[in-house]
Amino acid sequence: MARVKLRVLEEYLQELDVFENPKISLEQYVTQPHIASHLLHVAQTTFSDVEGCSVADLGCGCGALTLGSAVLGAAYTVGFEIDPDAVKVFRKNAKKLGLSGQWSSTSHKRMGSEKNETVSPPEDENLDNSDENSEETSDDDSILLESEGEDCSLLTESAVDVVLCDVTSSEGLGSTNSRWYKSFDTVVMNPPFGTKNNHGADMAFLKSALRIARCAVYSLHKTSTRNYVLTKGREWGGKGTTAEVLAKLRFDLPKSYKFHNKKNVDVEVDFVRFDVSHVKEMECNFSNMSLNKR
Amino acid sequence: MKLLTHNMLTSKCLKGVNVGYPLGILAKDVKVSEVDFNPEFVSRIIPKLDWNVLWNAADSIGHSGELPKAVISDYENNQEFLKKAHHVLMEVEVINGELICPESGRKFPISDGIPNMLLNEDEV
Repeated sequence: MARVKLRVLEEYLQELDVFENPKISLEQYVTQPHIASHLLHVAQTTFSDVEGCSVADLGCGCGALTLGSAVLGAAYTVGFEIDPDAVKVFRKNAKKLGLSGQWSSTSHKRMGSEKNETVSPPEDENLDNSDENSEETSDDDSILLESEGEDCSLLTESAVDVVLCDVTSSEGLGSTNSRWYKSFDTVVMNPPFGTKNNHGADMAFLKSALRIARCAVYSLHKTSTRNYVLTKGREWGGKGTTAEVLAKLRFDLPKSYKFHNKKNVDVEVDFVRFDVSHVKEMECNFSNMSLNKR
Repeated sequence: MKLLTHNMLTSKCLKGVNVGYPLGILAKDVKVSEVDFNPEFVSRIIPKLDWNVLWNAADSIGHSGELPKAVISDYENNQEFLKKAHHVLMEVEVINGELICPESGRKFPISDGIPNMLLNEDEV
């Protein structure tokens, strides 16, 4: 069961802003609301991997999967992103969906008046960047909340954090010695495809995801590299890892970069679930017994 | 940045840094807001935490409040304890400030609630 219908989730995600200037070097493209909502909905309804869980989104970009997880009731969601510009859009989106705390400039969700800062009085000296975004316009904050009626409180009290960092760093998330190791129940992500100048980025994302997940990793990969992705995933996840292609999608990448000369670029993409819940780890041992191999 | 997130962050990625933990916090703005209380989740996350680091972090920004200095036994069944933990882990947020690497002194800005752990090329 999911606490929000698929259609409603998709509508939520359709409200989100997208990259203003997608960066080729990072292979930025938007996770379409249709795909993001289906991915998360399957993760919740078929596998119960979202509600009440801790969820990480690697390369969270503008936040579709992070915020979608929060809408579905994740207990704690962290988006990891390398691009400060994408994070600005993320912040706008979090506000738009009515997240409270650091995401709103007021203490409670409310529309309109932006000036009720509740943070403790800032000191005179400014830290780097600290005032860069504080004056961002927020004319569009109010759109969704009113029309969604009772649903508008869905997100206000969710725990969402964003960390700016390089998720592919072998000393960071990709390390078995990292504090993040096995610290999330679930990872959801739409990594770069690892083409262009970005060779191997998809696999580096996958490696980090499998390190920090305790139960499952949901990811999107080019169908053309399926065997490699599944084999490597099983290897990195550790003994007992299973990998399953849940769906084959067709990505209709809109012409987002200038060098695309065709109107749309069609890419075949696998929606993959890696299950690492059987992997031997102290706290997971007892669950091994009751679960049979699918 | 929630203190739960702080409990996980390190500066180990920095060249020459061995542990990079715990990161000091220099908080300019701190905000407290309500987050749904999920006792089951809090119980599950407690074994993953460095409790001392959590307590000291909370204390350093003036929000240790009623948080016990050590994890109690049988915490799974103690709603009151879990609530206090929940409050400090999820509801106290550093909005603006800095994280400080304990070994190198390198500062990482926290801006509008988002810690920036990005490194320059020559720091990796």
